[in-house]
Amino acid sequence: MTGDPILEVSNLHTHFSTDRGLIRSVNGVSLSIGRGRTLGVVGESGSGKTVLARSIMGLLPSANVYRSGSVVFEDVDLTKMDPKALRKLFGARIAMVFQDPMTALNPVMRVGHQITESLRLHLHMSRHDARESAVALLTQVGIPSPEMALTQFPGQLSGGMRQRVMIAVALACSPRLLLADEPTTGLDATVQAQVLDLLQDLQHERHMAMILVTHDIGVVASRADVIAVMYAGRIVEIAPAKSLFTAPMMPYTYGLLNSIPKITTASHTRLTSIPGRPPDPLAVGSGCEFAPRCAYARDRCIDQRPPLAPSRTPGHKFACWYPLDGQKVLESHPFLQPRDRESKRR
Amino acid sequence: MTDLRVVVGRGRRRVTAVAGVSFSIFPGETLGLVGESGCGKTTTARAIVQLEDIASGSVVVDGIDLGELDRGSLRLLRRRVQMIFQDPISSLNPRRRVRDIVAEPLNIWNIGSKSDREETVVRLLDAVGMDPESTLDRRPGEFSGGQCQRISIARALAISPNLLVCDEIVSALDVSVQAQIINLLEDIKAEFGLTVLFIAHDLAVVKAISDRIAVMYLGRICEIGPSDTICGEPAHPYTNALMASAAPTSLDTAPKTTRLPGEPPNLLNPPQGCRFSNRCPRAKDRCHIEEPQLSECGKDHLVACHFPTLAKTDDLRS
Ligand SMILES: Nc1ncnc2c1ncn2[C@@H]1O[C@H](COP(=O)(O)OP(=O)(O)OP(=O)(O)O)[C@@H](O)[C@H]1O
Ligand SMILES: Nc1ncnc2c1ncn2[C@@H]1O[C@H](COP(=O)(O)OP(=O)(O)OP(=O)(O)O)[C@@H](O)[C@H]1O
Ligand code: SF4
Ligand code: SF4
Ligand SMILES: [Mg+2]
Ligand SMILES: [Mg+2]
Repeated sequence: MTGDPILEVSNLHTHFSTDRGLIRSVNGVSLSIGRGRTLGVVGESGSGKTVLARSIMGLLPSANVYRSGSVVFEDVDLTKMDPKALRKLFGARIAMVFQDPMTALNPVMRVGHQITESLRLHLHMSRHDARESAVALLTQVGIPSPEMALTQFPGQLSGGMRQRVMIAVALACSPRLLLADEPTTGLDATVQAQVLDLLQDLQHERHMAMILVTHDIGVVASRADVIAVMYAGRIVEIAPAKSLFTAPMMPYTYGLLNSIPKITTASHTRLTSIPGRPPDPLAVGSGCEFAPRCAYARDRCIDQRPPLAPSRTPGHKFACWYPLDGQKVLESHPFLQPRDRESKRR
Repeated sequence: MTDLRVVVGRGRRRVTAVAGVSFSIFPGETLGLVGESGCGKTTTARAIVQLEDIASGSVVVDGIDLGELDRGSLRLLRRRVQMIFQDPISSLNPRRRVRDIVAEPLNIWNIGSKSDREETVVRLLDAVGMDPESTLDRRPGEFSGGQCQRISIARALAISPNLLVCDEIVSALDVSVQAQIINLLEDIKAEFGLTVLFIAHDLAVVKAISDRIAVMYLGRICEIGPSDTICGEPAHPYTNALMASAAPTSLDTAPKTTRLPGEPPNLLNPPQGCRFSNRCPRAKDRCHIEEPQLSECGKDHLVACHFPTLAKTDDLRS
């Protein structure tokens, strides 16, 4: 990514020790993000996206967690900061939108209070100013009657409204970096578009960098500058959006792209999916984690793990011994062939 | 399983979340339900599974009006109707092990011997793409959102219900697992003759699985019809807008700039006349006065609009 990075993550590992053994959720992730840029993170459920985001923020359960590596935000290593200093940073300079709004919002505190609290703490606003800002924020995220929403408890809002409240809380203090974990999951298409537009506008306005974690590739396709694909706690491919979609190198990325249902496809068409399931996070392999599900796997893949290495395209890196041939992909690529595919009922 | 009819109206803080909704789901059918966030999809679903009190109207399952049943018969009926929730993480008990969570309905209904139950649990976990061996003794907190969702699907399928109500069950899943789950549902449906009400906000996903789709706006159904018709030739302006803002299918298509004007209206104070009239690009005087009723506009195709699109629409998508 160009420009001096606002965030630089190097060789981040996060492991949980459980009574069944060590769960390796994040395994040596390195990435950087420039000021005002957007990094999309996609990957299968359980691939470690949420744990990665939480590790960056240092928001992990306190017991039985092992984190190593460095997270440098504006020249400070967050992993070396004391909790008190961290708390001051969060909300004000870095904010996070959580995947599960119900557990992230305080269920017994009125929505209004949750927003104004952060404004008053970080920006030292008066009660009255904080309230006005809160109304403005809720209006910006498209809550129909913000005054009323302020007096409600999270449980009284629909799933989508809770999500928007989360976003309002996160944006309250104009952070420099926003980590958004599935910010639009659960929102319908029109609201999703609105919320993403809003995030993008605010981002430009405030020059805010954003890490957009999502399982919906459609969300990041047109909005992220760079997209990272995670598999089993590692980044297996990272590239500028266009390059990733037009010429994915790693078979897993290709599989993901191929699984996207399209509105132009006839109903009850069998969807394409990647066979098999992700590896047991307890197992430690020495080869490519995707090998058991990969149609291109050979002996080498099982013995040796491919490193994340650059391709010919600038900024495009992938981890695969036998990458896909760009041409071959182009022919059958769903993104490039939005017209009806014939029914593939098995 | 015959005709299921739902007419719900509910007042809470004077909010009527669902204001007179009627539709039928036929045996073996999958009905998709889409609509703006907060329009009352979850409330409708909760009414069907009796988790929400019904202010007026009725829910009829297999010809039996749920409102007229005593507690005992309701309990029996509930076994035939299972719901999977939007929020997987908080709908699972964090203190219990996966094996007990999935077996819970079997225990409640006292189905099978202990070893039968164990077997069923293993089979179901396998069916939803989880490795039984490494999951059985873990607790929900150790799983990702998507993994929790698969566990709750396994739980709902444990007692082979007739009607399965799925509220945004794939919204939290990545595309590949989403595809697996949808294919799985299609298989299970075929195998057990299951009837499904499938709620989601992603039109492409809903279309993939549904025979018919109902579109909801502000507590009412505004259009209902065969999936291909709803997605290909939507008649209601709101459905049109939904289609237009669906994620771009091609990379080169910039994010769609056609956005609905205005704010989603307030349930406390719905617009006069047609509920969509304050945002509808096609609204005329009549729309602000008279509320349109669902009426036939094509084969099995109902729309609630005074000025529906009847001819094939322009392709708004690309
Ligand atoms: N507190 C914890 N203790 C033990 N294991 C955990 C804990 N939190 C997460 N994990 C494990 O870490 C792995 C990664 O989980 P994570 O929540 O990051 O997935 P994700 O990529 O966000 O998935 P999703 O798309 O479903 O949200 C999973 O295998 C999960 O079981
Ligand atoms: N317990 C409650 N108290 C007050 N209002 C409520 C309550 N539950 C739901 N509502 C309101 O009812 C409306 C419909 O909510 P519902 O959860 O059914 O929407 P939904 O269509 O499922 O939305 P989403 O797609 O966001 O999940 C919302 O405006 C919501 O605020
Ligand atoms: S390294 Fe081998 S197994 Fe891994 S993705 Fe590439 S071809 Fe497949
Ligand atoms: S009735 Fe009028 S306002 Fe309502 S959707 Fe139809 S054209 Fe639009
Ligand atoms: Mg997650
Ligand atoms: Mg809902």
